[in-house]
Amino acid sequence: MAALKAELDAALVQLRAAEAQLSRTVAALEAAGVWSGDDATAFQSAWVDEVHRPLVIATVSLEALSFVPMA
Amino acid sequence: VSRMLGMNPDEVEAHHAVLVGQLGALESALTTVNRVRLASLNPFNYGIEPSALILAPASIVATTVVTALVAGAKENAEKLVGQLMGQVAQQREASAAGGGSFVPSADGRNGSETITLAMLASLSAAQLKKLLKDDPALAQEFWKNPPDAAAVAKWWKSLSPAERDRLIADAPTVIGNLNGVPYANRDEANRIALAAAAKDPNLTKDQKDTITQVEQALITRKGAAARYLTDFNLGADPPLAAVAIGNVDTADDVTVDVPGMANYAKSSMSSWTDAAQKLYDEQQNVVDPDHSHAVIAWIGYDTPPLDVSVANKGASDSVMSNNLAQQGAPRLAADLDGIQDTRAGEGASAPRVSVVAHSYGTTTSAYALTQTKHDVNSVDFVASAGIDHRVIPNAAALHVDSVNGREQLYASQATRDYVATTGRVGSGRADPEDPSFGAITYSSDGGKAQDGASYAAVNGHDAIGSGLAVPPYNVGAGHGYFDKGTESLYNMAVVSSGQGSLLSGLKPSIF
Repeated sequence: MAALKAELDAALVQLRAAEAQLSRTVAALEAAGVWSGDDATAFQSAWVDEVHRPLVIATVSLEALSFVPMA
Repeated sequence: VSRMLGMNPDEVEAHHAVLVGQLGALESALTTVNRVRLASLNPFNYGIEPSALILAPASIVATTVVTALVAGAKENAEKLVGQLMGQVAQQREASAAGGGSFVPSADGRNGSETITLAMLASLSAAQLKKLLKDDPALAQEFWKNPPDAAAVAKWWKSLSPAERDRLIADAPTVIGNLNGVPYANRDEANRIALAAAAKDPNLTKDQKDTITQVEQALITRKGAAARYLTDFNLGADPPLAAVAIGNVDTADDVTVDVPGMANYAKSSMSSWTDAAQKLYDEQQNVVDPDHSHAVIAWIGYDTPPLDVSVANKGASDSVMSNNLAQQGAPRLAADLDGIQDTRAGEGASAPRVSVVAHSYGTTTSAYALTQTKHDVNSVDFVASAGIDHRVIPNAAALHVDSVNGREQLYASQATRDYVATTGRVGSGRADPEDPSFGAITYSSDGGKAQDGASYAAVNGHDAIGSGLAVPPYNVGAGHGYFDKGTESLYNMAVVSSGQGSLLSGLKPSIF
């Protein structure tokens, strides 16, 4: 098994990349000609609250984790 | 037509494929974080080499919440994407009414400086309930590895009343036991957890018995100080709890009573609270009526079973073993620090904090008092089952105040209490009454106080005398260490109220 810290770092990179791609994609829906109007605004708002924000908190939290030697 | 309705279905569908692909990446990251967490909890089972690094305890708690956040976000994303595609389908039908309104769920969010707590606070009510239901271990991890109480106090103060109410209602098993949260709030949360548990048809017998005991312990006597459920952990094995008499948030003096062997929340919460009430009454009505008091009947650790035989010495849960004391000490240390940190967080003046420990509770308390951040004002070891002198060689090793160069450690054992002596001899632990240990020792054998009042002798080991068996193994009614009218109760009240000069019957060893 790879070192746990390396595994967690890899998960953090993957999580951050996925969150960034998701945000870009959802933002692209707002682009002219794709989706607009009240429903689009409501979707964007819900996405930020229910997906984007928890993922950002999760990535920030992962960055702050600490490791200790086995007792 | 679709342009008029605000959506280009083909382009939205193209983006949908990207979204779904990234949700798979979230799942993969989630699996990895979970594996790292489990490997840190059970490194040997996961083939982790002894020299390797594992997650720190507080970080393990954080990963639990991280996984809940990611899982929740993924679930929400799937729901939103599903709704989005439903709208696409409706767009394609090009109905005159369009796709209907998109209705997001109404979730409150907030941020905070304390990461793990911020994550909890960031979850919606539904997510929080689901998290704690699906993963009861989360509440246990907060119990075993609690966040720093000072940080919690700062975080709690940063929340709005509505946010606090939501957390109390939706995460009572975490908030109720979270040091740094004011005790009135903890009581509210724990009573919510208690009421919910009482309706649970799937409880074990120990859990049911604990609920019964806690409910009895919370009954306030007419005209007496209010009682508060300051700790309630039904998911622990065995279940654990603590009941305060008097307001811990405002009292001038706060005393934590730590019990010895065979005191379980399932069987002794009520009687240990009665013992605490007797100490409270002695403090408030006899010794120190000019200050306000609170006494916490603390059964926050797994005590050893009632077996003082040397034959049981090898058992890991034996009173002769230090194991259970060592396991219980960190939580006690956290609870002691929590009293001071919570008060500081509210911007109020610090209370006097005292520990009164009985029997094996002295063993546990001694370890805990090497782990606290803050000194307590006094410690009183009665009927000690012994102190691990390898860790605590003398009073100076304890985090307790000194007055005139003397640690405020007190100790007493009744002459007829042979059980405590057996516990020390069998375990090889030290007697805190030994002059070399540095405690101020006092009598529990009966005598007169400085005002001339007479007090009875303790004639055995029990905290409360039942008279159910022959002394000295059990104690005659009215002759336990916490029984009203005994010299020990008077002196414990004197010590824990900071009135040490009023002690009766000082033993010659201090001179």
